[in-house]
Amino acid sequence: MSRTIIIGGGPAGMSAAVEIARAGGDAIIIDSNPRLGGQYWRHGADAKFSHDGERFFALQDEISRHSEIEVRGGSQVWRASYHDGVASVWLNDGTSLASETLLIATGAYDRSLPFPGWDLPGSMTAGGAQALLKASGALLGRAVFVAGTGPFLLPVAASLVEAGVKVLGVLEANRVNGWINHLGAVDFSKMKDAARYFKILATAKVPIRIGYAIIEARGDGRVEEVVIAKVDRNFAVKPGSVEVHKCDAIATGWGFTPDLTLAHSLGVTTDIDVIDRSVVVHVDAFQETSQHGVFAAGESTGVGGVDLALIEGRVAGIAIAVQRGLISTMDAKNRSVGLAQERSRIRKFAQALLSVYKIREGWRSWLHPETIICRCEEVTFAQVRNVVHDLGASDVRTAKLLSRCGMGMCQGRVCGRIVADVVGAEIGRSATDDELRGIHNRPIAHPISLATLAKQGQ
Amino acid sequence: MKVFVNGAEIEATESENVGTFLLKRRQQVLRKTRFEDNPRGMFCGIGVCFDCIVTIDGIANQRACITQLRDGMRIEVTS
Repeated sequence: MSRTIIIGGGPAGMSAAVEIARAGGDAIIIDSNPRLGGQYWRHGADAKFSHDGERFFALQDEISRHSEIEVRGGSQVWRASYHDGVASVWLNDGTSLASETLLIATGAYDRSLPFPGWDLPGSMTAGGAQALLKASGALLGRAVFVAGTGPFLLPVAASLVEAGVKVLGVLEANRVNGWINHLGAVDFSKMKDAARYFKILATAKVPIRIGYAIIEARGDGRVEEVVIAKVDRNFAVKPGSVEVHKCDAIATGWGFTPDLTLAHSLGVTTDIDVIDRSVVVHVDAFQETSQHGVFAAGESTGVGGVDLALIEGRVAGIAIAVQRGLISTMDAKNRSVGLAQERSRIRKFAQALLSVYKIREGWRSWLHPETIICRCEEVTFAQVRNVVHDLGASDVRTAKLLSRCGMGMCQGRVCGRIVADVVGAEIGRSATDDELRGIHNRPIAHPISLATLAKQGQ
Repeated sequence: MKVFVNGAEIEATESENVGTFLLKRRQQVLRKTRFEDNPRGMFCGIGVCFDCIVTIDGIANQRACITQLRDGMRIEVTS
């Protein structure tokens, strides 16, 4: 049997690799980042963490002690396929790998909502703002607003404050009362984290405004001011609540989208999350997908955070070791004590968070006719409406083909869900499950050069 | 090490990506869009959105946010 292919070197991929190595197996971790850690433990050359670095170093040390684990950083999988029990991946350096066991640990990225001016330089995703900071201490601006929904806005705002950025406000669109109690009621460690963030924000006198949103960014060639407003429970703007503030950057985040591009190429069965309707990989109790030998762990199976990713990675790693005949099922049971219960507890917590921080439909009322919907192809809201009402597009796919929405370089990673929701609203029905799944269909996951393609054809 | 931004030689001291390197030097705008000539900079910061694409060593459409700096690298931005 070939060594296990692990796509993604974040918490899930790292913890799976460690379990495989402990069982005496070999594996290769592939990640587009030159360093291990994923988005959560993204770090620069100096490997400094503001908190929770210990768990990263423990995993990294164990991986580096096992010579059977190869880490191939700075490498992208541009294609994946599954035939006759063998998963194959093609890398952008022109090489390819195949194995009977593969782990999808591709993580997630920020979910974005469009608003007038969201394409201006200085407007970033919340995760993007934090990624710059973690990777090299770069700041998106000097005076910024952090807005959107979800508990993730807190660590982003706190880390910006700690880096010396003037955070002018944290705007949470959902009516979450007693944020901290809500988190603490379910998970004490989360409450400690939240308390730390609140303390940093309070010390810096950062206003936290519940039920507010950024509805527009303006400026001559870059973000210079922002329009904020109080929104109702459905995210529609409350009349008379509009304020304009000067700033030089904004960070917005609306939860996360699991990255399912390669999962889709591998042909695994997916589910539609009942709360936010995101597409997630369907896995069994052992984190195995519908394709024998293909496993998934972390955000690709549903957004749940680092603790869930670590547990799912361990479960997957142990199950892979059993499937490869490295350990017995009895041995696997001993290695898995408590993992299933902990996984179930955190999943419930994650679902509870998802329903509190749900995206409400009223965000569409922030759009102007000229607001960009598809950033790559520069398609406006008016153009999307036009293909539905004037050209007669009556499904998401036709609307995309006629408007070019989602057909640019990012292949709909940013606007795919936005287009599905906007088109759905215009034609008077919700996007179907298959339309939502179609968002993730990208046979070529990342651009490659013709020279690389030619090399792989040989 | 040294890199070149629009032909100008700049000393680069640490190992970081093209996007953060340029942002630290106040280069928020990285390109103009094809159709409307609108300015764009980094958005997702993690290689997903393709908004920060620049020309590196003569090859167009390289994502600044996931491309590590290399000695002698030639970066072209439009602002």
